[in-house]
Amino acid sequence: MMQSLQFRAMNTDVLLAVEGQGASERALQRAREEIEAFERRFSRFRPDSELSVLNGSAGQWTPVSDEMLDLLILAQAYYQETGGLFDPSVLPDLRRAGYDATFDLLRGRDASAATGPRAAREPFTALELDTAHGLVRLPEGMQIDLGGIGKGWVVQRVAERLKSGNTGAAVSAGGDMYFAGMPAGGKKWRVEIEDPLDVDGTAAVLNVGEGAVVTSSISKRTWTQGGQARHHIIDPRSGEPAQTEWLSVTVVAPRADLAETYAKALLIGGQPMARRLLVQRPQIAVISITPDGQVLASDKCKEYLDGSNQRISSK
Amino acid sequence: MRLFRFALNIWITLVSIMSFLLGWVILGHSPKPVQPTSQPSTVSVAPLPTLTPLDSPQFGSGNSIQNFQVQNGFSSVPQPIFRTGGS
Repeated sequence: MMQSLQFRAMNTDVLLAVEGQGASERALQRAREEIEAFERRFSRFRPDSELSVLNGSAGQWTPVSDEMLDLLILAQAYYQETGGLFDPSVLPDLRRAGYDATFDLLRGRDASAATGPRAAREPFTALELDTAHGLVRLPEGMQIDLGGIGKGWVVQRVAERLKSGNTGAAVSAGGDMYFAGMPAGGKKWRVEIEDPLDVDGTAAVLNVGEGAVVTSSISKRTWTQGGQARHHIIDPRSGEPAQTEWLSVTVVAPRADLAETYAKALLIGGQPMARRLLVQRPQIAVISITPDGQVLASDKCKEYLDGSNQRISSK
Repeated sequence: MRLFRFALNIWITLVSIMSFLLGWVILGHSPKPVQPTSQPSTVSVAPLPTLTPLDSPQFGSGNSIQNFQVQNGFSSVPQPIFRTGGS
């Protein structure tokens, strides 16, 4: 049997599961504490978090933790790999779009109106890293949000630690999941992809082994601003909520940070970006859902799709 | 050995025939099923009480959504449901 624990953290629902000899409530509780510690350090909504301190120190060299340095190095690599579609420095645009409070507070009220035009800012690559001394310098005016990539990063880290000494462990936080090891009995991890047109419906079912499954969607975290519908996926090219051809993109990849950044970049970039990025990273599988409910799957998905899937087309 | 097999075949054949004949005799002497009567009987039942209509659900005028609270706690299951829909 698998031991599991559910709780709320990082403004989302978190599920931890572990199976094996070391599977215990104590191990799950330790994993929960690690996620909560991560949230305290990387939340942009906590004024005392390390991220908020860094955002408040733009223009000067600031000492940061090893974890922050690792995440920023990863983020810069993915920024370049995705041609800037994954960009943690869109935080000022996200705030202009009205996402200026935790989503639990934002939900159900009209967000504050955008103040003035979009300010010119330097590209994310202008962020300077001194890895030898653990220092970071944000250019003046740059503010970063590591919510997406950070969630993927911590999900994988916690799952791998939870798996240690056990058969398998899984961590799911919102749309981000990482599976370390396998369930007992030679089974695979079964993952349902939510239908963005019907939150109770399932668009596809995957059977996956060790690795990550991440979904990025414009149907979640939506609000209104001056009566206009908004969502949290910002297109760095326009600074506005992205106009996407798909409602959601799910990526299966060996690493959670890779799956997280590619899900977002593919959702923003659509079909043309998918053609380029899938050549670049042939090991990832992509499933996207169109506004008319069509489910599109890349060739690599054949390895994971459950036989019960009915609505899949290849792309 | 050959004699034994021949005797076994004879014995199985005889037992099969005897069982068949015994079943025939038992079924032939068993009581016949009751035939249904041609006139359906009517049973008078008391009328059902009239149900009172349910109160209409009251929705707020705005689009407010109640925060979904995940039930905190440990559980032990074969495999929990992993569902991804974005965050």
